[in-house]
Amino acid sequence: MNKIKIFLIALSGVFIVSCESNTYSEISKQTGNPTYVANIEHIIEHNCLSCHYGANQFPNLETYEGVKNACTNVNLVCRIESESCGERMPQGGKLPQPDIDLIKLWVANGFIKE
Amino acid sequence: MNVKLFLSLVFGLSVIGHASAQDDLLKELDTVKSKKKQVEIATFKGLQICNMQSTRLTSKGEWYVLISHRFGDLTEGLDNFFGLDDAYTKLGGIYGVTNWLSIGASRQTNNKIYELTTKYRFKNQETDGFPVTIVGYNTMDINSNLSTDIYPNLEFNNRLAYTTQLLISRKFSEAISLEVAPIYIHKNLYDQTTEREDQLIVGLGGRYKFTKRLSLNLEYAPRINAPENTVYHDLLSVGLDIDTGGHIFQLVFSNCQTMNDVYVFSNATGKWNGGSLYFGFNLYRVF
Repeated sequence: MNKIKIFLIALSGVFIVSCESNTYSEISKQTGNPTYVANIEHIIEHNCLSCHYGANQFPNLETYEGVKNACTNVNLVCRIESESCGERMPQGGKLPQPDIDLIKLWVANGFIKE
Repeated sequence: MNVKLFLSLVFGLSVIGHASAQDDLLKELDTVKSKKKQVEIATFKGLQICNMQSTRLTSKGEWYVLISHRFGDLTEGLDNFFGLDDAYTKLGGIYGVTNWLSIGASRQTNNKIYELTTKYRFKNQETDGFPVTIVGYNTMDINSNLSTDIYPNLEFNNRLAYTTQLLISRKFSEAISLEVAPIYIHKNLYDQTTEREDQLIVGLGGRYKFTKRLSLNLEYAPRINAPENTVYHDLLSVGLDIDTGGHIFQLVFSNCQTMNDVYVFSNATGKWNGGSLYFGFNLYRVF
């Protein structure tokens, strides 16, 4: 009987803490004018820099110039958006759609730094 | 003379009496044995089949250290040295509170996820008795990579994701064991373009034992209500258990690189026909 009790406690625990879900777009920054410093740098830092630093993994995404270069001369946008240019980045899973949209908007607006 | 005869008579009787008492004891042993059904052991050698959990639990008071690696995309070849350049690591521990309950904690590279687990056995498979082993398994993920810099409205609640699993296995013969596992996943934060808040999965797994120390494992976990525009694939893995005596070494080929159950069952990025594949291993050491 003890086992059933524990199972029920675990199950009800799950339902209690999990009752409220959000989508990424609900908790994201909404802006029509994303900049590198305010938006893009944070996305890159948390999703790309564990591999794309120094000479560890091409392209280097540690700086504004590096990210801009990866978007214009390397296929950064294509790699995060689809699997048509190679394995989707970042490895381990797709970036949330609002983050991809923000990067695309930043590219379309001409790589605003600050 | 009479005394001698008397003594030998007493001795003889006592020997016979002793022997028959022994018979009775043996008989008793037989009846005890037939009353209590024998539990089937070693349905699976490892705590995992490949990525999914098996119905095996740790024993009471046992500490397990878990070390898992999944390397990068195997299909890129020498570009990333068959994936060895882009490894993910999972480190964790599991403790057997009782023989039927164990708790665990681990951390993995991807999204810096901490995973807390409980595993508890309801029922054991018995020889000529109960037909299957039934085990419950819960995991809770804490995603510590999410940041308010990107998501200003982020709350702690959003970092959590859960799986609830019912693992049902049967050892069909010395060599073959199979498992089926209804799995429910709930995410407190999800991307509505590619994921669901609640996801149902049917996990299927099995092992075939070649030799005393070697077995082949297979697992497949189709999602029941996968979103139409999903970019993820159903989990399919094949693995090899090597029993080295002190620990179980599991080699795994899978279309999933991440190692937390939520991602394993709902966010596998690879594909067996023409996509990415990942090689890795699980290592369990008991203390």
